[in-house]
Amino acid sequence: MTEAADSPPAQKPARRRGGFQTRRFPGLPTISAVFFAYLYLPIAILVALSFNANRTATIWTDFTTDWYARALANDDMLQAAANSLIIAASAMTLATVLATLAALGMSRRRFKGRTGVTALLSLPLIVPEIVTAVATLLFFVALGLQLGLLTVIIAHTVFCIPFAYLPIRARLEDMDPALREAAADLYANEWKSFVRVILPLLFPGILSGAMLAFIISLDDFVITFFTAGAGSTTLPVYIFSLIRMGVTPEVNAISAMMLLISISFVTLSFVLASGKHRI
Amino acid sequence: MLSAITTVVALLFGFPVAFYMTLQREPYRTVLIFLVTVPFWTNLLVRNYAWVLLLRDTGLINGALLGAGIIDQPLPLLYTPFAVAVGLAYSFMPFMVLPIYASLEKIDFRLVEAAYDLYADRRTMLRRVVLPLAKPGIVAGSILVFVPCLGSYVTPALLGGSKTLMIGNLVAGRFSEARDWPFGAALAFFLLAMVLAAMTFQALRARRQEEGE
Amino acid sequence: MTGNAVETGNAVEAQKVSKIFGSGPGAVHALDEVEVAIRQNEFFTLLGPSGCGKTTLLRLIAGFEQPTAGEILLDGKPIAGTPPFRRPVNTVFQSYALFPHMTVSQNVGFGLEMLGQDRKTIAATVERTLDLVKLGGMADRKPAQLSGGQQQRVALARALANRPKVLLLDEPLSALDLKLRKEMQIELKRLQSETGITFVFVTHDQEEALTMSDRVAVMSNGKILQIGSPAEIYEKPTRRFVADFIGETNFVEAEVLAGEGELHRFRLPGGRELSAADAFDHGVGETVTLAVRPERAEIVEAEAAQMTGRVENIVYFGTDTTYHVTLEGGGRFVVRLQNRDGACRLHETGDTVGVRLPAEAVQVLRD
Repeated sequence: MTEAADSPPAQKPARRRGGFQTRRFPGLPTISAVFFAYLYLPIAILVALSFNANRTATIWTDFTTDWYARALANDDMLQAAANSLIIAASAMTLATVLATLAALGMSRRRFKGRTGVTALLSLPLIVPEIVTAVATLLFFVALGLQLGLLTVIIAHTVFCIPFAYLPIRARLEDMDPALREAAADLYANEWKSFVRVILPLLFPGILSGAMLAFIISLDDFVITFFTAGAGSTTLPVYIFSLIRMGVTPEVNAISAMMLLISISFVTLSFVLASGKHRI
Repeated sequence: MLSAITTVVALLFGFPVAFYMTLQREPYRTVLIFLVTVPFWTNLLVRNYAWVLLLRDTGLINGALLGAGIIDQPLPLLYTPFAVAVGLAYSFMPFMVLPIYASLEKIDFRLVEAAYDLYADRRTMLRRVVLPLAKPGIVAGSILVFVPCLGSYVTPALLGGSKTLMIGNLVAGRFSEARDWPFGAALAFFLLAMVLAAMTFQALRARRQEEGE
Repeated sequence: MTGNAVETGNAVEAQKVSKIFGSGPGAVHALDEVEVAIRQNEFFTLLGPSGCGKTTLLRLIAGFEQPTAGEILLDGKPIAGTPPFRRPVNTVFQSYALFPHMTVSQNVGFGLEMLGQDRKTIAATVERTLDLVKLGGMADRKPAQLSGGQQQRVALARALANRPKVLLLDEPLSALDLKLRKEMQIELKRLQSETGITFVFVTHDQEEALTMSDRVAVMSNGKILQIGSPAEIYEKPTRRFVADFIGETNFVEAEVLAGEGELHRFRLPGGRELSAADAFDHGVGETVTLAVRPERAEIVEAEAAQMTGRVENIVYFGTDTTYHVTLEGGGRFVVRLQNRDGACRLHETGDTVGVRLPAEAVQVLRD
């Protein structure tokens, strides 16, 4: 893009050749195609290799689902997966409730330090995960908490809050403030107006916030790696240890399953969000 | 450092793609946005692992090159700074594309037509109209890529091996292997300070821009 | 807080109501000691440009804002401290504020449901109200499936279903196109006389105000400048702002010569004299502003006129033609003449003409 800065000034004669299209730029489709290939090819290859019968993972020999069977029969893997689900579900619930309350509180009134609170709420999105991870670890150690499932849940809840908060807040911002007034005008007290008007309208936001929190928690590796004790290993941590030991088709299979879960979740929340908008 | 290279690479790639997306019509456009976002929500670990599969000595790229007879020794791709840069750019690309897309999308397309009308060719139009208007998105995207690159841990750990260390791995190493917590904490704080400096810079820029308007 | 309820016979009364938003140097005085009494069963309009405080006054009556000073009485009773959901008042919002997740009938029945009425009564009332606003058959649609005009009717029905003492309408027609707006003006007037509910209507559209209202209050800068029937507001404006805001007006500065009796004498810029009624008894020697509607002035021979000038510009409107006259001694004056008998150009540009101001056409302003 920078070399465009040296280009000669515009030629005066208007370029009105036949077929000049203002919306078409040469090269853009090619670059975009390369980009999306770059984005998806590795994932596609990973999935393909997980069905490869050959151990070396480079040469395609035969289609097999053996690796999936073997991965699903692995007790360590299953234990890690169960941990992941417990943690993700708890963190999602806690983070969503807290985020909803925070969003409602923030929208109610302008108060001093409001921008400060907003900044604080979004800070975990910016701070490098590794910093959060070691800080959380130090915090738990300083409190004398035994590292385990509970510490992981606490840590996950905390960093999931901003992800749950953003869609809920966005939904609240979109809401016509007159709706709240209309409810009050039509004899609904604060509680009824919350239950009958605000909550139903907020629900798609809460849902997508909860889903984001769930995915984020499920996918997290760094923070879990540092705050998990023995017995609270999650799936990503387990995969990491496997990768460290070497590439095996079994890892491919587990990874492919992880991908499937995340992608289906995101797709679902995307469809839900856009579907709700239309009505 | 690697983060800077990654940011530039992501920018060179991300801008044309974001621009391409804005030129598309609905619902195709929404699908593209969705496609850009999906990898972001999938497991970082898994995505980087996919690159291990590609870049290994016995991986696909080397396999293909060897098979085609272009090289007869596997290229050392994995565990190099190059591998880390590729992985980082891959991991954080959505952060670059989406803000640029957001700022490009806001541009009234009639401005582009007006530029053509006033005798600007494509290049001049891009340089004089689109780029200045997309600047906030470019800056935001660059910072959003640069900052997580600084603190990244997984990518260098998987793709960089022990040769290519980044601050994130240094911090992790101090905590997990060396058990040198105070030094690790100091490093972490240094990292945090760098990130906050970058963010403050961005915030100040944004404010100045608002005042300028 | 006086507490003693005085039966005034007024639906709404504002007593020295002020509203200040914010504090310090940035504070906005939205309402400044507003006094108004809205009678039972009348169609009352608050008219003024945006930012004049008309919507604020409406929101104070609805209970969405609290007055900084003064008191608002509803049916003679002070309502300070009563939350909106306990006020027998309903609002038609500018944005309609229909609940998007509810059907039309759920929207219309919402207030009754909150009041704790049983389902049967609610269903019957909803049906009746939807018929009243001519929306029968739309009951199960969602607001997003309706046109702007239909949404407007739902908003009306939702407010009317509760049979409020007072219906507040916040520029409800501003989002509709011209044709629909005209229809709804007639419709609103019909609904008001059929239901007998007091309507308080906020608008910045003078035509809307004149065609629908029983009485109009013209507001500017947080003050009510004049209250009166549409004809009074148009024919006998007392303030320069009112005369200027509603319709077209010529302003002429004049000096008071004699201030006794029915008709006062004034000296016009050209030196000639004029008689007119002065409701404000300005003293001799004072300079006053006279307001004259373009259609009330006449163009005559220079000798018979109070002012003379040169025709500068002629604009043809079909039903009438306006003549822009530059007066001798400065100033411009517009005369509007009806085009009868096909005679649409009685004078030509550049003609020297006389402008006659009949005594009953001249309104002496207070300021």
